[in-house]
Amino acid sequence: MAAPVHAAEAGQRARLGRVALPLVIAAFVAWFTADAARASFTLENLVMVAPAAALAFVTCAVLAVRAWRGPEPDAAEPAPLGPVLALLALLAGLVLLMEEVGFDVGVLLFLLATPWLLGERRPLVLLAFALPFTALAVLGLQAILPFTLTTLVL
Amino acid sequence: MIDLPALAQACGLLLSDWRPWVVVPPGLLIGLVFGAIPGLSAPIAMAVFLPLTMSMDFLPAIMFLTSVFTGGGFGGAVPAVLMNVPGTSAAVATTFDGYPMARQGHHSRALGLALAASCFGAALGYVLLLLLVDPIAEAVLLLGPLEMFAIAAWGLTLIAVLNEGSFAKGLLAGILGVVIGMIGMSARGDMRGTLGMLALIDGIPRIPALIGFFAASEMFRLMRNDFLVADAAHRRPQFGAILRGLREAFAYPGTLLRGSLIGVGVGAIPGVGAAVANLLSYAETKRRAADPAHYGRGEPRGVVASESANSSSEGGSMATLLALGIPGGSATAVMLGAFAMHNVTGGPRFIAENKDIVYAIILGNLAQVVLLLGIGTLFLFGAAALVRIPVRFLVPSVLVLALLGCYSITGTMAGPVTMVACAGLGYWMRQNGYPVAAVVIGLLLGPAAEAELLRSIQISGGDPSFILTRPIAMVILLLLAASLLYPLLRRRGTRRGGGTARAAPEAKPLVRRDEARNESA
Repeated sequence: MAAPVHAAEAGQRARLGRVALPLVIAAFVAWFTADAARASFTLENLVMVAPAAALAFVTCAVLAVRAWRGPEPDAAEPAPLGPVLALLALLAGLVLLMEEVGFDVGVLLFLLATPWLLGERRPLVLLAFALPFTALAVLGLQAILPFTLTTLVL
Repeated sequence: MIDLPALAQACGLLLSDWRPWVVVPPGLLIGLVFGAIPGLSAPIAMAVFLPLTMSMDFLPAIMFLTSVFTGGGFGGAVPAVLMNVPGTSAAVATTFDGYPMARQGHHSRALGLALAASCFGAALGYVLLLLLVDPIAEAVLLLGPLEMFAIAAWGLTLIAVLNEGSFAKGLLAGILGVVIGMIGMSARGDMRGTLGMLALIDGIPRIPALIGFFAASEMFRLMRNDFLVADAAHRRPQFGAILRGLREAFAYPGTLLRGSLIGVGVGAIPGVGAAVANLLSYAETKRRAADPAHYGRGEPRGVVASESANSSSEGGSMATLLALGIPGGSATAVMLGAFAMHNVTGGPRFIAENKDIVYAIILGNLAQVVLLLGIGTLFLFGAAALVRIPVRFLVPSVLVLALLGCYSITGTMAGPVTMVACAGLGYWMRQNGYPVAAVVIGLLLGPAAEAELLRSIQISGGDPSFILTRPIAMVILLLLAASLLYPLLRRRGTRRGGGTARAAPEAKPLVRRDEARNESA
């Protein structure tokens, strides 16, 4: 019985995701429109904002109702969220740490962690991939950029 | 139209000196490499190597920079096809069909198609430039904000063509792109959606957002697979398939010609250029197709339409640079820097006094296109081997290169932060059947359309009859209406004839099964 229960949960999660997406977009558009109107309530400022917002609200309402009613043919199969969130967290971690620990160390850690997350468990292979790639990418970027990169070793 | 004595002098200039030619192959290769690395592009390569040209004479310097421009113009197609990464906005439409072709194991053929279309488009662009450099420049001066708005609006209608499933999802994705694009200081000086952050005054960085929506979000989907191409037999780089692709591009002469002409016309308009040309060409090709349902699923004509247009726009942008001294985009802006370094100012006077040099530059560019065909074919053979790299190494490599590329574009963490945010949003949208390409189109064209519309309102004082005084804008808007109505009328005609319209929906499950095979492997 565990498998059907699991599938039902995944289906329910996907359904909530489908309803949530247009609502999140509508909330973002509403916030932007209010901010633009606050900045200047003139035709010139809102000439594109107002029609775009009106169209967005109508479309969001249609899509949210349609998503609530049932599954849609063009949506992808619900995929396991864990690995995607883990990769997104690694990427966000790299962005947050890059300037703190240095681009070289940040990139190296990311290049070690991501293949490991995706199934590569041989330490030598991980090092043989991550070390030269980091050196090439960071030194290459340093050579072409007119400003300096924060690095710890390179 | 052609000043024959000047043309003869130009040939003499090119044939009597070996120095302009020595710099071309390395220039092409530099352009190809920079174009093929996500986040880098031809303008970056040109800016990096600009100081080198100080020690060169004017003609070799310009030949070197234009060869980087030509190589980079095509190089962008390589990651677009192999990784769904349009390294520049000029290659956005190349991903629509190039990447599905790669996923089906036709990567070598898709790259061959892109190279041939690029070379044809660029060659036609330069031939037209040779013949029409003066009239093109005069025509550009006739375009005002209303005409620019009409062109941007035409590009925005691609949103309606892109969605395969729900029209409402395509529309919402496009509007979301337009709204994201309007963040920052408006053309009128109002601050919108900046949250008081200085980094957002210039708006959301476009290229990092584009890379996030397309490339990074695709990497999240790809991570479930072992290889980009599921079938091991199709993973080998196939020289024969590249050559087949090169030949096959010429099986679509109408698409090639239409794309090239759109590219030259749009490329000549400063500030518009290849970013709009590839989308317009793709949209028109799909609208006119008898089988539009095949587009977006690995249709070779989609690749040809996009690549012929973005490459031919080079010729158009060179026209405004040479004839008016106005750069059409960042690449020609760098070239303008090279002009200044050699004390040369583009414009009508430059053309009148130095027609032999202008012709020599154009003829040199034509020769570069021929060389690109050879060098590019060899380059593609190496690049096609990318599909043999296991996904567990490909995904982190692409993400790191894209992230560093985004940093190099903005010079701050705003680029990488934008990329990661757009990657997460893009993945969520893809999972729910929203076309992220529509977001990118809205993002690229929405702000431009708004700025031009605002200028038109200011010039006209808000009087709608102003449009009656702008015949070019009227023609563009009528063409836009006709191109929107044509598929509807044809569909109705086909339905009345009880014809083949039913064939299109059947294409969908066929490709879905193919995709499912890739996914499951």
